[in-house]
Amino acid sequence: MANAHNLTPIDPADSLSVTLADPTAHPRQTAAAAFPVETAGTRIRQALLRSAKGMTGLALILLVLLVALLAPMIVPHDPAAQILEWRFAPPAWAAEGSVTNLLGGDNLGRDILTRVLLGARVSIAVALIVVSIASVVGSLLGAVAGYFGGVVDAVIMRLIDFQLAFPFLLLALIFMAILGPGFSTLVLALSFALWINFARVVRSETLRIRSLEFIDAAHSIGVSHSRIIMSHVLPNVLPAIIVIATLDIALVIIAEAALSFLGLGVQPPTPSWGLMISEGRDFLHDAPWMVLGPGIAVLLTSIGINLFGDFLRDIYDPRLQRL
Amino acid sequence: MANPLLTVSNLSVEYPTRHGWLRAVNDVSLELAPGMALGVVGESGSGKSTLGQALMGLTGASQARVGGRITFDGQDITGLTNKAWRRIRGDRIAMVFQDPTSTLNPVLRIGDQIAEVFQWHRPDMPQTEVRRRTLGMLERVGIREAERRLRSYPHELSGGMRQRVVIACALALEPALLIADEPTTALDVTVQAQILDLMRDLIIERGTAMILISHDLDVIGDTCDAVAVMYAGRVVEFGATDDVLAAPQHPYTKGLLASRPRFGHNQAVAPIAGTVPDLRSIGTACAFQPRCAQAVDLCGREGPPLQGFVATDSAKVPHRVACHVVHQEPRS
Amino acid sequence: MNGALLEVDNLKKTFVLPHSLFEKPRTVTAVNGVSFTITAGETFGLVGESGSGKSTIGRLIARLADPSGGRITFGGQDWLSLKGKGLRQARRQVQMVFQSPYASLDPRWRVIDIVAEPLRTHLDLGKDELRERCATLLDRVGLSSNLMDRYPHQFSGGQKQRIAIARAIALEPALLIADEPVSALDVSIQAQVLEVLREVRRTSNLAMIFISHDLSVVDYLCERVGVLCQGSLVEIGPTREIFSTPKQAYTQSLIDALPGRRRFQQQI
Repeated sequence: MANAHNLTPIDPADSLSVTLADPTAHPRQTAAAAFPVETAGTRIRQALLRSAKGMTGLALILLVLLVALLAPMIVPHDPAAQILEWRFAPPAWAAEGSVTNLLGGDNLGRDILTRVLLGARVSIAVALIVVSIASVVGSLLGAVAGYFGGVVDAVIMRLIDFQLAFPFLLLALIFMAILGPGFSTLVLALSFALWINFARVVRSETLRIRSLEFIDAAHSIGVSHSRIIMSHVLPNVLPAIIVIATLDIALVIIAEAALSFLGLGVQPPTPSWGLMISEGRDFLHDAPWMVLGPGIAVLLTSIGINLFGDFLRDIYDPRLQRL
Repeated sequence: MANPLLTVSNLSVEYPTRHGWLRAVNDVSLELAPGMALGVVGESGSGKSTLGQALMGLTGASQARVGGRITFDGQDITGLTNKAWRRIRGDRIAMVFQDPTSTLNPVLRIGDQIAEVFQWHRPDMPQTEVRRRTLGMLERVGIREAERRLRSYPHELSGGMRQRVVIACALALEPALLIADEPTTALDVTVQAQILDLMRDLIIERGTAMILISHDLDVIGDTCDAVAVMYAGRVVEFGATDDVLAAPQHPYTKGLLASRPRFGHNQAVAPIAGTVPDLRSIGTACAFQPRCAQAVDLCGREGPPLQGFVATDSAKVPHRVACHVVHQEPRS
Repeated sequence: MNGALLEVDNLKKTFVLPHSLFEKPRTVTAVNGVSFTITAGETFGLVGESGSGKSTIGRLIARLADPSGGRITFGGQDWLSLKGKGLRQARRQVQMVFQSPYASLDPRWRVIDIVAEPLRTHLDLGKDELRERCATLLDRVGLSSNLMDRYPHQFSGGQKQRIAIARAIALEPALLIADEPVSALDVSIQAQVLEVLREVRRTSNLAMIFISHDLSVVDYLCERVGVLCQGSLVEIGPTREIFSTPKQAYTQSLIDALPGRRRFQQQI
């Protein structure tokens, strides 16, 4: 609202008019109190302590990371062990459940809790690596396309169009056919599928930012194109990148599931959340706990990342600091 | 005033912020006779736009707290519901905003936008009559080839032409009061002059009262009969435009006039010292006191009331000023 | 001309309107054969309505856009032949202040980084020296150096425009192009910025092109003025002369449109 903007308090610490209009001192002149110098680090830390959203998100993320890190040490059972009595064992809270299998057992008699804990490693690793690659590549290409326009833009945009014309699964299949299934192929295929999300949004944001006068200003100072992109354009696009990254992390975890389900991703018996959900789908009616464990894990991770991403986006925009 | 069209008494508008309530408009009282043009001048943050919004019942969306009374045409409109406001707005009280581009609906032809005003407020009016009036309105605001222009979309018009369309919409139903918030700020000087002339002519012709909100005293000087100078949410000076511009009393008004280069006079401009205060830190003192070269002890303790100025008690519009120093001078 | 800092000769700029592949491109002429000269230390005003090409001329001289024709000579060298690194280095001679103080400062940068950007780009200074230079610059535009670590949104429009001026004068350019630097500001704030510009001009041998549609501001600041109408200079000369006895009806219409002018005439 225009008026809220009008009412933004303007700091009294200002001395110009004093020096120019009336050299005899004004009471306001002394009001130019030293402004506490804050580094970005302390600023984020302080804001984090104040933000329930940020804290919850961070706590969830840390929990998942910790689990991924410590999984081999804290798992109650061998993830590959197939014990006949544990087949479709109900979880601890069910009528016939036991504490041996807290989250129950799957169709092959493996302990679900063990596999959920270990699955965190695969899911998190894939998600982080894929989103890192896709965001860096996509953002750079998007920024370059939006900033330079013309032929560069046309080429990059056609590349995106070309890729959009292929269904994602077909692309993934091509990758598998060439490189053979496995972890690194999975990462490559997913990165290749996701970079366009970043490129498209960053490009349109760059188009907007490029038209702002501070880009002209940097230009007229003599700052080089690459430096303008790195220091003016990308930092201003960062909130959008963060939003997409948080959305895409959740997406990757699920896409990994789909590919693993098709046998194109992580190979059994290595547990991954996606694989577990896929496997449990067939027994949804009789043994819903098979998807419950990994499902909740995906949900909590996504919520954590989204909350923290939301918080980061707020904090990263200095204009929102005082609200 | 015998029969004022609009009476504002002790109006205050507060917005909720994280650090408590922010009083954007503070104890403002105004009277507006039918057909009178009042200018409200002030800087960003002076509360002039909030005042305009309060008068149009547009403060509801921001969860603002409105105190005081607004009486329009004998009716208390302070606590009206949104539904009741929608009947008044556009019919009895109309408005023109700064940016004609965002005021007009980009996907509606301009003829339809004006016609919509009739259709909403005069549902019984026959189609032919709506069309006749729409055409007449477009011609009246100086749009040539009105018949053809009816079918234009807003983006096909220049900024000045769009603002003419907005004015046509606003005055279509001959409202008793027109509120214009910086209607020419987004326009070129030459176009600004044309639009101001047009508005002036239209309100005189129809006997419409007007409140023109602007940061530019010169714009108000060309257009309005009376002027209210706002500072930090309060009216600090009020009077006939000629009186105020010829003999400004409040140090802030004087500062405003001195900060503007005069065309053809090479006198130095003098910026007003300091900046607009934080509205939350004013307390009881005169809000202008920190920037005022003439401030006395009293100014830091209590805010001066808006009082009649002795020298102009015979004038038709009383000249009032809120300044301890001015009120003390004749006595000392 | 002797001692000319900037010579603009028959400058032209046409824009190609967006068109589809199969359409014949349509063009708009924004600047149509404009010539003028500026001497060192002079303040030259360019006035006209929006669409008269005044901002385009500023951008052409600042090399933010390339002209379609004509010559620009700056400090004796062919200004338009500069390219790449040579151009980037030469840019420090010509700096700009833009219309919108809200858009011309990167919202994510602290004031010190904004003001230091030209210094960092062209000079190799240590951290302490940078801070010191920035403090001096802020002082020159009347802002306290205590405010260096704040972000643009913590300042008022007038203060932001002063930060922009500090950035523009950081490298002590020979020419400052100010494109409507006060049009986006409240009248009461404009005076602050005008005074800073006057002060900057007084304390350095800076030539200035002041682009504005507001004749009273140009009248206040500029020694000479050029009046632009639809891309062409229709009148050029000493400000006092042109504004007191305009030869063109167009110039007169600009004067007549000034707010407050009509009241002023009534009083006479």
